[in-house]
Amino acid sequence: MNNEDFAKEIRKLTLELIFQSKSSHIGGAFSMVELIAVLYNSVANIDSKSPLSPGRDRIFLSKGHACSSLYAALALKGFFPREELLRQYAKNGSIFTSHASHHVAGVELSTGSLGHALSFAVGSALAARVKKQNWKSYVILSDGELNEGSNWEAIMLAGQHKLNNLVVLIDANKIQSLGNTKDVIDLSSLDIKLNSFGWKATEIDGHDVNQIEKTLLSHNYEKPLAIVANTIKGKGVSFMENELLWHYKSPDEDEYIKAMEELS
Amino acid sequence: MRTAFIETLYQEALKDEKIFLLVGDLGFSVVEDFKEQFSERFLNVGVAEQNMAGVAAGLAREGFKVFVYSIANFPTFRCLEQIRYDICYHNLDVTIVSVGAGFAYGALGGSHHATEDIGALRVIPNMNVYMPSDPEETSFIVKEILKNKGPSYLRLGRAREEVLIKKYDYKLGLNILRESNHKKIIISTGSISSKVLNLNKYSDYSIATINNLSLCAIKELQELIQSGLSEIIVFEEHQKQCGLYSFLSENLIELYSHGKVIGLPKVFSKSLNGFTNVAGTQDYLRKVNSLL
Repeated sequence: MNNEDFAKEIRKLTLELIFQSKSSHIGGAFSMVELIAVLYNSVANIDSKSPLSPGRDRIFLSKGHACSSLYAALALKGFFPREELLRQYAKNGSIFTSHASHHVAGVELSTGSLGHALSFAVGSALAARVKKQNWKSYVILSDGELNEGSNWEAIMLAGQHKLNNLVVLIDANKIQSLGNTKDVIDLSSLDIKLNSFGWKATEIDGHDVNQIEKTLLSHNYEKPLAIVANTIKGKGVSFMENELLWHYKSPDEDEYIKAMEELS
Repeated sequence: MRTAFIETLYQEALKDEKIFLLVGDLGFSVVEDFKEQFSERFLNVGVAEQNMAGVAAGLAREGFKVFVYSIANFPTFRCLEQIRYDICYHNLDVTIVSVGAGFAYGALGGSHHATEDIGALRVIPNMNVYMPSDPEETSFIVKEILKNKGPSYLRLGRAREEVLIKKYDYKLGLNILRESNHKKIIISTGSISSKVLNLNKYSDYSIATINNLSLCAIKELQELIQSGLSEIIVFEEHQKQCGLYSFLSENLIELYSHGKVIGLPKVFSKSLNGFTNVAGTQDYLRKVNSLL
């Protein structure tokens, strides 16, 4: 399956998960779909039959609240059956919590409190360097999450030590829990900020799978790479796009039908 | 204790290539030899404790036995959520080392009084809290920590603490340093233990230290209670809430409630009851707080 089709399937399954479980965060789950799709479909070295293979690339979802689309990608890749995910997502007794859980095959780290995964990934990247192993650590961050100071502690350390086996993808959908990021804490010109911290930062269209793939595969710098991916919150469903409401709301039946029509 | 810690860790690191030491820009005149000998397994992460705890978790996930070193409340309270979620929730092999338990940095003021740390750390599932009382016990504890996998908290004094009893054969949990008639016992933890040993007014008490909040200490206490123990006095440079006094009280009540003992001894506390707002040496602040 090509990356575009894979992204499409991820969105449809994500919508089903959110609708069935009446859960939140569909906007942020949709905005990062292409980033997830490219990583899991064509860039990262992962194997659903051996999720903990020592030589695998490590992918950390820092914005754990958006895990529905990560779980969807993992199910479609065969880490666990799609039906099992649909039946259990956010249900009583299920390991499929609605913030990322490392008890789920393929999920490296439990997240849900923002600003944790990047430090963890710096530890992973250091470990790979010390052990002279060539796998990479990828982290998907949200732009609102960059309010957390812990991220900047990690950014400074990774830049200082030129951790070029570390790649951060920032899902810059421009909306956080209570408003537009520029109105809460304006972190515009992120690429300039990150470059000045010793990273190689580049800005791309976060819904263009070819651009994402090309940027990831051409990483050959002596620095950690940050991809500022400009995205749209709720991408793919017209009435969800750029609407803060869909950080919280779960679609009702009519909305579900309309959304699925748009995605199909 | 910090010297005993780093010397033991150094010796163990010669044998075990998985030992990794992170420091939060602290450890002057302590960590230099380790850094020089094991340059690839040492990193000063800067003044950034939240990141340090997260980085430690990431290293541990890849198989390293990681020690995180700083002082007072910095490697604990400053990054408590990283300890809870990254290290303990994922049950990773990270030891948080804090130098300066209680009032070891007394003159520096409230920022440096580590007087709530046992409570904050012991409540987190998977966390194993260790609190030696002298340098020899510190060496013993570091080796114990290295035998196990999982999160640990190592609560250390500062430097040049008195050795309580030379070549004492320590075990995990309760160690009886001075035996009396076993009707009354003082249970102490941390460097205050050396002071307690020399207090004349308790000359008819047995004196013990506790170095680990584990059930082996409780098992031993159960036997003492069954043999007629009638009074315990707890000494700790920690708030009364959630420290050693609380640990013992909770577990003794449980013993009684489950019929393991038919009565309980009186349990008194020499603990702290609030912040300390004045400067002073460790002994001065102990006295201000009526510990001694």
